[in-house]
Amino acid sequence: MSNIKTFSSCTTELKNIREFVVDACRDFPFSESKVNEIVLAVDEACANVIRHGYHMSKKGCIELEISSEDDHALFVIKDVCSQITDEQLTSKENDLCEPGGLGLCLIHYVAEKVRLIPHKGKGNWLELTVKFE
Amino acid sequence: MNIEIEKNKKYQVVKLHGEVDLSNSRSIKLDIIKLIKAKNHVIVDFTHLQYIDSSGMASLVEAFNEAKENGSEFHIVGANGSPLQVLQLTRLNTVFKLADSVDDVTNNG
Repeated sequence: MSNIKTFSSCTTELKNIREFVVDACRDFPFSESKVNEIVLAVDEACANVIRHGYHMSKKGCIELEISSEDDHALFVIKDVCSQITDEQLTSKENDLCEPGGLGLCLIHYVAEKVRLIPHKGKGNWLELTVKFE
Repeated sequence: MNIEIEKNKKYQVVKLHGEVDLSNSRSIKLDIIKLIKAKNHVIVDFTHLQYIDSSGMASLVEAFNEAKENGSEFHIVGANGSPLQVLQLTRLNTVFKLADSVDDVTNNG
């Protein structure tokens, strides 16, 4: 079973995205501290989509799908921006305070696995895997 | 998000309430930098801050750097919950001067 919701690419939607993640995480065996980290990671991923993918345009959309498998939760962030490469997802320590760099570090810190899901069509499907504690 | 600014001894105390993210981090940065450029020492009070993301942290780093250039003090106080976790995850807790409360800074400043 999965929770799916679509949001606009307006920055004020980030608050609603965070609330959606908190609600979905209630069903998973995560501590409050881990939920805080997951909320941060998903927020950072969505903020990067808004800033670098949609260039702050409010006309885009972000679909967030949250599901679980045996020992982990999956958070998939889908957009219809220009496709990015795996290399652009690589976190570099030196990028800490560069645009997007700090957020990317946080995403990699929180999620055990960060990958682009291959798919047909436009946009990017970014999947964050977080193991249950 | 709500921001309150009040004078306490030689400091301008910037109280952040609510959540800081990409939607408001730039305006907060501009408010704080304006105080620093006016030769103020600044305390940013996180006591009532529920959430801050990397854009908020990057804004504070810019303000901190501006303070260093201007010879102003820059403190963060009252960090708890998620904002404290973000400070620790980003290791910015080792960069900023942190204290428990505004009084801790003003009584020693």
